[in-house]
Amino acid sequence: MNFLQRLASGTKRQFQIIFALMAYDKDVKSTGTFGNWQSLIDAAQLMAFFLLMRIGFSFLRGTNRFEAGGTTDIYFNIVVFMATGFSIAFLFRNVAIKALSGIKMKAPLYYSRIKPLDILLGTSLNDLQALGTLSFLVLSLVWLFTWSFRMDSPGLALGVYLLTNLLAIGFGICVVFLGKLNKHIKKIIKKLIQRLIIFTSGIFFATFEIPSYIRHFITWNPVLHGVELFRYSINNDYPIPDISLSYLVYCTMITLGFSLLLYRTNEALLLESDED
Amino acid sequence: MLAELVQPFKGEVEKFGVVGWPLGVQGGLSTKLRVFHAIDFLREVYGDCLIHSRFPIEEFWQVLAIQSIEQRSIINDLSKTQKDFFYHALSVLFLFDVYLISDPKFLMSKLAKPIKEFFHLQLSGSPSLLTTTANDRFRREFCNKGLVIGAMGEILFSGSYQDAIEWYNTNLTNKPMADQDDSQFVIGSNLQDNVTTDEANQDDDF
Repeated sequence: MNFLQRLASGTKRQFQIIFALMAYDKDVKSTGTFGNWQSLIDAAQLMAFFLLMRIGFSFLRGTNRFEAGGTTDIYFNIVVFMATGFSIAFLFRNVAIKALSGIKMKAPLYYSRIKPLDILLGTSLNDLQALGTLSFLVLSLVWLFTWSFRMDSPGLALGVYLLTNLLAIGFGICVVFLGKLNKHIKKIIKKLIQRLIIFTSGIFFATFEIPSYIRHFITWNPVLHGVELFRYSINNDYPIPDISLSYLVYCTMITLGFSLLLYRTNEALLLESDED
Repeated sequence: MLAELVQPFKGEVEKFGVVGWPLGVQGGLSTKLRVFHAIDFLREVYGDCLIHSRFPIEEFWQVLAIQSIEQRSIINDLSKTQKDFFYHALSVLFLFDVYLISDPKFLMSKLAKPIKEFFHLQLSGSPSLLTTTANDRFRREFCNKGLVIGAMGEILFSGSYQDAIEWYNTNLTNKPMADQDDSQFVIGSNLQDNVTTDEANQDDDF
């Protein structure tokens, strides 16, 4: 067997293993109360909470209950606006925290062909699938009720989704090794992901609504670029000042590349679960 | 060490061919899985070991049916005997280059007779079997070579099975090996799923 054949069969097997782990993760949950819907329901619960919170604030403020409020109304329905933000920001949060906390689904590692990174990729793909399906369902429902289908750049939407996933994996793995230096650093970074990054990721606001002189305080966050680009891919009229696809690509490639280098030398660290 | 569940104290383990997981153990399968989930999972991971397997999947299902194990049964709901039967059948389903056996007690029982027949069939080709068991009946049925290993892992004797037993009894101890029990240490116990905690962390810690 020559090199190319070995490479092809090795790559094929690697994909098979990742997809098998993806199915394994879902199958383990499938015997629970909600069966295969469990992953989707978990994500839907959180999204519903955020939507209700946002609509609740608009209602208390006395503005139109079903609009995003402010100039965002010109471009999006509030549900679409929130769902797009949520699906990208939470994809990052879920995957990064999974990597950061160490792998909990360790049993498949019993088989020597399965490595920690395979499990991380398999479970991340499940998150990607659940949040992707959820946002597709929400967008379809809104389009159905308002009869206003719009998806200007589907390729960009898909690209942003995948880039966010890779960014999250890279970021999570990098932080695992930083956290190894000091347990408190890991805790702080975890809290930062949970709160700071989520609230600067544009789930609740649009970048163009932020005054330009303070915009640079939030545009450092690549997840914000992902969220805004995803919205832009739905409606190309949506303004995205200081947002660029190249920034998202650079951040993803650098973090992922660096994390894979660290992973190569410190694979075992991913197995150390963090129970705090 | 061959199954990569324990790291070597020094150096690296070099393997030529596919080494299976220890025969008859639960391994990396969650008990929350259904029987067909477990098989689908391992078929994806070790699919290449099924191509030349002498234990066809149709016959595998028939063998499981002897113990009333259905495709949709949840592993956790199976009785202990059914679980042992299922895990052994599953390990034999794949044609590995090297099989590992630490405890052949169930395999040598009457219940496992249909599995043992297929195991002999799998071994009739080129595969090897490695065991550390003290079960004399199993060794006489399956082993033809013996290796005596010292405390530091050095090879003290290598030869035919009978010669190795004689060498051991003469040089190391007067107590025949067959009288000793199999060591019962658990391998891979650190590889337990902790998915519930993970989900709880994610949901509660926002």
